[in-house]
Amino acid sequence: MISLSASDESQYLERQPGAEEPQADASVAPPTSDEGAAIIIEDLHITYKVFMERKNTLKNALVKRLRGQQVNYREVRAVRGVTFNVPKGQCTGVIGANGAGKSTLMRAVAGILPPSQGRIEIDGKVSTLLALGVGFNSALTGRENVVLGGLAAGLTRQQITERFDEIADFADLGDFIDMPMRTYSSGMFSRLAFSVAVHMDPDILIIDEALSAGDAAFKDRANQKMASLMDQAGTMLLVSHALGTIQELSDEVVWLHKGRLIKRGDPKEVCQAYLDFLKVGDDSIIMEDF
Amino acid sequence: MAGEKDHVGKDTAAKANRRVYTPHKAGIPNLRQYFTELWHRLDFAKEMSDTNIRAGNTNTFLGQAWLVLNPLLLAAVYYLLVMIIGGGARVDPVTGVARADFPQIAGGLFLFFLVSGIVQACATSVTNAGSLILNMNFPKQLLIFANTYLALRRFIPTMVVYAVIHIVFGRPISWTLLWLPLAVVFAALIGMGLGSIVATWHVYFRDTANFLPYVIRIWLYASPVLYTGEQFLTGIGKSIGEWILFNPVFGMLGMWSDALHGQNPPWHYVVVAAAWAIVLSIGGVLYFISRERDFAVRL
Repeated sequence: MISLSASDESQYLERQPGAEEPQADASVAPPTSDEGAAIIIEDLHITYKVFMERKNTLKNALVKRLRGQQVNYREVRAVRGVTFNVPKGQCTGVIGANGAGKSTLMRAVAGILPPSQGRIEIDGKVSTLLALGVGFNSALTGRENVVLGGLAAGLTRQQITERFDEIADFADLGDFIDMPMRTYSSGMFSRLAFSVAVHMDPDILIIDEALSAGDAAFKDRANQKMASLMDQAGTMLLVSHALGTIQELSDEVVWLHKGRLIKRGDPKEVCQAYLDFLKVGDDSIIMEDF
Repeated sequence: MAGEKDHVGKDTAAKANRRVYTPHKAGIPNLRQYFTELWHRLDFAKEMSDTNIRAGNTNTFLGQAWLVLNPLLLAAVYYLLVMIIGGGARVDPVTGVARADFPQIAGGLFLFFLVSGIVQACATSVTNAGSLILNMNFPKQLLIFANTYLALRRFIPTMVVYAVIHIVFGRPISWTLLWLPLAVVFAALIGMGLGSIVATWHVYFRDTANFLPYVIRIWLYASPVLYTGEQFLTGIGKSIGEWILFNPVFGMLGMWSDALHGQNPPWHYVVVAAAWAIVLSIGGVLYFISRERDFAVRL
């Protein structure tokens, strides 16, 4: 196996090293009880390697090995010791600047990224609507992607057939549902992704900055659908830069900064603390996804 | 235990949707749980294979025709090279038979290309499914299964082409042909095992698949495809002799060749082929599974 070594500089790769950092307050203390929680996150750390080579190829690795050199990498501590839980039937909003570790945290909760340290416990069927879409293959039609995505998510063919019309109607794509997805606009792509995610009958819905591309009519329908999911005691983890939406939908908000949990609690209060730290007013940020 | 511990507490054993994710480097996850999930999602592998067939226009008339034309052209190229340019059609004055056996070469090539085709398709299966892997938690071995199944489906027209060659060249139709399905199963298992290993390497080093055509070409010449296993052992490969059995496809191709010639294969060919198929498929699949949770970080 090719040997690896961290480069001589700081072992960890960090965005804006030395910049002012917010202090975590008492609200981020580990919860006293996890009873009734749909998601329990305990001292979660996620660290991954970023290779410093121009090209990560076998040829490069072999050449380095023959020269007696090691493959250099740096480590990114995307999530650092995060502990919190999400009670069943509650929507928890996650806010933070770019690079705060929000998407990494969402992928870890969805079981996509393995923790480096700590533990995540999930009680319920998870459906994800992540920033990249729902794993759609643009060479295939919308219909084929819905079937493939549903089967990968663990639904049976019959369950997908039963739900297909509802998914297609909700996405409102008309004849485009049988067109290759490379012909879709970003809004159409987003509508289908949202429709698939919410029609998987999830117990836990994870949405990561994936709500903003639809038109006004779709946003209204999406809003109603999310409210109805929450009414059915669904649990939601919602990542968004639209603080208005976060405050409107969330029962609680957590603020992440450089992988650390800074504040947890009332949506308005946490959002205000975040804005104060950024030293910007409401008008400098997007308020609504919907 | 290292690996993804999707263990379920005693009190919550009945709750199928309760999961626990803990640290993992390169360990084997709970295999029972992994294969249960994989079993429930086998339809995904079939659907993926179907969509690839549709995306490749293989369900159209010309697409189907290509599946037949492709092995025909391959056979024609090797007929030209071996039988005409290489003089294989000339009768050997000592034995009184043609120097080369075209149906044996065509059959061997088709089976070899089934194995190499599976390896090549599997090699990029993980990197090609990047967005799915980054967005959904599912057993990634399904991607390997989908590509193996697809290659087997595409092999059926190839066998039709071979059947025509077999009949036209007056080769025997006997009970020994019943060995062929077993040889195809061994080929699929060997291809899937090697494909799982190469697919894992390709996630770490993106040029792995670029080396494959060269490796496969060398492998082809080191395998009893353009000659029989016996010819290798008594002629070409005298110096390395029985070491040829370490070529994973040697036993399988030997079985295949004997069965096509109306003979039962020697038992040691069958044992060697079965051993390679079992070791590579189980070893390759476990290696892939042990690494698969690292894929999302690397993609």
